[in-house]
Amino acid sequence: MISAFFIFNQKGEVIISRIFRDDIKKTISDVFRIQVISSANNIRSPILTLGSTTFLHIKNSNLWFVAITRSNQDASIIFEFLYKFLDLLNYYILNQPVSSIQINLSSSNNAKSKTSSKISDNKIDTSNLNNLSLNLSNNMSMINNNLSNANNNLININNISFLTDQHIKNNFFWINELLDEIMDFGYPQNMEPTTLKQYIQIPQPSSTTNSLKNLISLNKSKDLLSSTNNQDNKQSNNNNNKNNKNKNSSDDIKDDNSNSTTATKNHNSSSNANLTKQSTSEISWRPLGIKYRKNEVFLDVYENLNLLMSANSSILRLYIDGYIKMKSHLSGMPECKFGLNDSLFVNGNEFAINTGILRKSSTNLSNFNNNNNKVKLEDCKFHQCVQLNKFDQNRLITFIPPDGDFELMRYRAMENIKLPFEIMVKVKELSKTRMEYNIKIKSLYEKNFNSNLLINIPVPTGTIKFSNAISGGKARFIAEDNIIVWKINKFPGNLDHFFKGNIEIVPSQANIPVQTANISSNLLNLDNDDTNDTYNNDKNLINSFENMEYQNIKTSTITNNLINWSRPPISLIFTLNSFSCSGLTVKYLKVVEKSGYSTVKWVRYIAKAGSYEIRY
Amino acid sequence: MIDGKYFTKVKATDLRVELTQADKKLKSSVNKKKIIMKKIIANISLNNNEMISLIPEVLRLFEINDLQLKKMCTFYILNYYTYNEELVMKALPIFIDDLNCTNPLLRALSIKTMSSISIENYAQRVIPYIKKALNDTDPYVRKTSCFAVAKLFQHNSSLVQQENLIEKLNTLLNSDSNSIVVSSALAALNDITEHSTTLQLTIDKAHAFSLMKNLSKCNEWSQVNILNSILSFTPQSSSDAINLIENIIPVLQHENTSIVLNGIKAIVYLSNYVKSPQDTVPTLPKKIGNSLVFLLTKPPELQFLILRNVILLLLSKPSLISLDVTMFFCKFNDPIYVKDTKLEIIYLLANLENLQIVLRELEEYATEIDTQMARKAIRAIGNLSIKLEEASIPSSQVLADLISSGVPHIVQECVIVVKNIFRKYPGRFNDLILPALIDKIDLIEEAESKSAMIWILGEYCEFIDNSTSYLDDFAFGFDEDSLDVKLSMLTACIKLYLKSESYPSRFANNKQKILLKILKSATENTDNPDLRDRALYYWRLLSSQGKFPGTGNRIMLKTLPQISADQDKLDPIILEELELNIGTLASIYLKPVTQVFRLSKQKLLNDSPALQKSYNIQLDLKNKKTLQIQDKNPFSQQNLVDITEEDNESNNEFNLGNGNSRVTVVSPKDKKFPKNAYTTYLYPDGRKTDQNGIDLISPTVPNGPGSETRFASDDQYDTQEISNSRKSMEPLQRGQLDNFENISVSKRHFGRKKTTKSGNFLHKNKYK
Repeated sequence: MISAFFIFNQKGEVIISRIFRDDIKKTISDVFRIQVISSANNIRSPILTLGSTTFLHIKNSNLWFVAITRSNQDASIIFEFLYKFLDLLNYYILNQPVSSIQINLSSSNNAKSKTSSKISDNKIDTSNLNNLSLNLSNNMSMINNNLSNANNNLININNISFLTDQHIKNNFFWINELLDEIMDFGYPQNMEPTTLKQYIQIPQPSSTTNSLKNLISLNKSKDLLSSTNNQDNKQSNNNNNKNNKNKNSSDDIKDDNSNSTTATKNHNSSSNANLTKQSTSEISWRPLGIKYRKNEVFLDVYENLNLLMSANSSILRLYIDGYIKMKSHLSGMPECKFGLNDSLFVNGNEFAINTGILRKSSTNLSNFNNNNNKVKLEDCKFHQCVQLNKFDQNRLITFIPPDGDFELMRYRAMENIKLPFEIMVKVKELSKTRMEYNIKIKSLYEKNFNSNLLINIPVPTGTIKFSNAISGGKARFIAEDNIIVWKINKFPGNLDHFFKGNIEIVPSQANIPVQTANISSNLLNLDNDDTNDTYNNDKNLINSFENMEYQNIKTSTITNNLINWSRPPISLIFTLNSFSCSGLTVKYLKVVEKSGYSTVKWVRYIAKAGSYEIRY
Repeated sequence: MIDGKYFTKVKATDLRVELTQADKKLKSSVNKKKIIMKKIIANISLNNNEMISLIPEVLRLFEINDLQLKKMCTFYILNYYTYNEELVMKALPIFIDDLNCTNPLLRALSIKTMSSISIENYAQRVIPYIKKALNDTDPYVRKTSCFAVAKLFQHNSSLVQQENLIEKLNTLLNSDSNSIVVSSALAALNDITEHSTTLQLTIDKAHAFSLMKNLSKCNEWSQVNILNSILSFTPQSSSDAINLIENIIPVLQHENTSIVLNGIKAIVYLSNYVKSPQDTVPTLPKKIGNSLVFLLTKPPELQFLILRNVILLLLSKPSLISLDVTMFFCKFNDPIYVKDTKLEIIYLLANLENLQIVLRELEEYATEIDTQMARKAIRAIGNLSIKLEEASIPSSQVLADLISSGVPHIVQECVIVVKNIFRKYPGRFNDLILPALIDKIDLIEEAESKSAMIWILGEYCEFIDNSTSYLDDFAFGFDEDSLDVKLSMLTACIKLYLKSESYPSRFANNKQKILLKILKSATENTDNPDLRDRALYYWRLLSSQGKFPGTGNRIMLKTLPQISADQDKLDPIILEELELNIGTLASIYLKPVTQVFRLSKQKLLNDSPALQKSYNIQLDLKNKKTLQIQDKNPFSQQNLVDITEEDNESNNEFNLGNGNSRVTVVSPKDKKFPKNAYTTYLYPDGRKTDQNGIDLISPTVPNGPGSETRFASDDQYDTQEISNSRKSMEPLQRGQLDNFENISVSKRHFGRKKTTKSGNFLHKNKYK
């Protein structure tokens, strides 16, 4: 199994090192530094084998997580371990929900992803601000970064804050303890965040008051940064959500407090005995003796819509990868039964549908479930708490949930998908240096829905002029990414929007410095028109100056030949609340516990763009 | 509490003072000491070696009964014990003290640390306590002790065997009520057998089934261990295997990649013992396919691993997996390694039904900005048309379009592909592609494309206007060209000359001039015997035209044998072995395990009445070559040292535990392998047998991939002599180079295709 584990920072310094087996020396880290990190621009594989030694790495913004093994080992275990470990760190340090895998994935390169629900936005931003407070004294540039990060958050380009080496250093000791706990002799052990919390004293990232402050300042900053969450505030259910959110966060704090106290208490040995029993018991993910005054369950159904459309508007690929997140605030050892309306359940008539106690946060949802109420799921994957054999035998999803946030299931659907948008793209080359874009987009959902939509329109390198005529929203040209971002904050249902843009490409490679300067001034002009947020300009200023040099290099190496332009697809990013593209709905959720308390249940549906690409 | 502030270098003496001060104050001294300990550890990670002088102080801290403090002290001990063995000896009583503590976490910590220390004679002193801990009341301690045994085995294998610790593990395996302990025992045994030449883990039927029954009671990693251990069970009847498969199917629904992959591994393994698993369990292919595709929502590194395994399954058990090709279309921001692999899968999945959509997708990739990706896509288009005859027409159209785009790197690659298509379907697409190609002929620069173009010019000179002058252009820098280009140039000139005699009207007059120039250069200005000999041979052939009219035409203008796409297939033996290694590193490289990792054990299907297997004995010649190359690698020097001595004395087989599961001791000598022929060859650590194996078997090799005998039987012409010299000289160099290339991951699979391609090129030359 894993012989050694290292965390490197961007410079290639080892921050954490752990040797689990004798067959490797600590100096092996130098090999990785030389072979991989120093040639970081040209990584063609996450796996490198030299002799019998293999280096497997994942990269999280600027940290390298490396596992080193000897001989032929199970790579699936190792990569899963690395990502689960990263999740744990995110969970404990940044307070990010455990399934950040999803987020990491989508945040990979380009503009992608994001805009999740309000709740998760909130969390993300808190952590950002946490960052700020942590690093405030250290360096100012960091703040700039973070601000621009937050900013990016708003324009939906880059999301969430990332772990930095400072984070790791500041949590050095318990991370080491954690590593000892989750790995023995290179074999991964129990990695459930809630139970691990009890083994190891994990300091809270910030004290209660602090986090409250953060919450407040967060709200303020949101106002400041404006144009934040363009979601439909008017909608009544959103107010509902807001309340929810606040409740959640306060619950969080309560929860954390109780946990930290248990952690300190744990030093007497009898509770430790319980602990060890629990971690090796059949239900290793749930500690005993959890108590809540109010028993609540929150279900969030997220659907990532993935579409690939060819130039002639035929659909090459269309599927939904959805996941259901659950936040459980339940006392004792509850057993949950869970039902969906998918066709996997068609034969299960014997399970009476019980929606009586189920409170729908969305009233509109049912409108969308047309007559065809059956949804066919291609496949689903479950959290380890779900009893898979029961599911296989009689399609019952039964489980004893872990405490707090977790991802209950993931599913994939390919049939009967309702597309929220219809989009037509025409790109004409007017001459060798001029191009014209014509985009028409129509929302197919009902009028009383609102989505926020962002369309990334790639342009060739060396584009210098951009002019547009649009029917709504704001369009901005971002020179460094060679992209035009068209943003529509509120896009009601059953409406058309048009985009007509002309661009001009620099004809030759002469006089480039002058032209890039033009670009930045252009950019600023554009910005002044369409933004009222204070940070945007600063950021763009910095960016455009920083990128001047960069641009020079770039344009001089890549010829601005339209033929050579790879025509990256146009991509859409959107969030649509209370909308289920697959038509999947939660039919019932039963919670059974010995003490027989009643549970309040909340369900939300959020449709998002996964990889939504249109070629032209 | 921010740990970062501890990361400043301090002097050991200062810390010592701080400690004595903390000793004086009774209140809150533990917290104070923790802070000092943190400073020490921070300094260790800053490589401040002064800390080693604090041993007595740390040992005193170690006695304090505080878990966190103890954890830090063990960190210190494990860091420094190699420098100061006395340290461990002094710490030992404290460890033993901790073992009697009521806190199970402390007991486990103590076991964990004791077993991690590897110095002479230490294991002996520790073993009695480990033995005791294996029967601890707390499952957590038992679990930790299981791994402790594996650790001790790594330090001192003979002692562990002597002390019957393995037997102890076996009893845990059979009798322990806690499934996590059972799975830890399994993991430990697996680890031990993996590193031992004499021990083997076998599980019997009853135990295999009881393991499966308890599967859902474990945490995710334990499930992985259990699924993995199913491979140690040899089903004796098909119904057993089917039963188990049905038990495993639910785990495919798990979100953990390693559980799914290990589940698939177990299913694929068991399906070898069932006649046609897809008929018995009809939903199986769909379920496997779905669960694999589902995992593509994971991060790119895991995607990569999954995709590699999809390739493996498509090559080895296509009937067990059903997939939709569109799920493998690349996303724009997939990392390059994911794109590469997806491309291969698209190629493998292409069939008549999805042909159109696949071709359209490939064309899209061919125009991508990443040149490497574009080139691979073009290769895939070419290979596709060779694989499916129906694909040849549309893909030639696509290629013609691509060529006329005039992007240099696209043209380079297209030429190579077009040459292959011409080889496969001679004369069929001349009108379609040739004009476009000739139009962009100026762009062709790279050696491989150049030699492909020259071949086309020679072969089809009668259909190309001005072929002579084009050839003349290419001949311009003849002396600087690579050998490949020179050889094809030579042949092309001869062909041109011979054809011009048959159709004199179509050729310009200067053909003789080029021929003479090339022949002269090739014979006089070259040091390469291959080139010179061939040139001389041609010269003689032409000059004897008068005496034996028609000989030249008969030899040079013969229809070439068709190439085929068979080379895609991996050797069934390699596949069999890879199947047993699904999800491992070897599955990423798609190479025999022993070829990538010399030390790893060879896994084979165990013989049983239910085993469904029949294939010809084949031999992988490349295997040996790569081994040699690896020897040159500085890293493998360490490997050589690592090889453990075989224990030839233990030749007995005994039952341990209750007889449910057992560890068998097998001496390598009487290891019974089902297929003698290849096992002698592939046997991992006996290199002598390698040699013998090859000597014995190689004369009878039927059409092994890449074997040079392949076309030799067709070679009934006077060129025998040349092709013989060819065989002895060039292929060897080539083969080695190819293998070198194959070692790196990203290039690997297509690297192989490249090999076959250049192989073809060789064969072609042989004919001229």
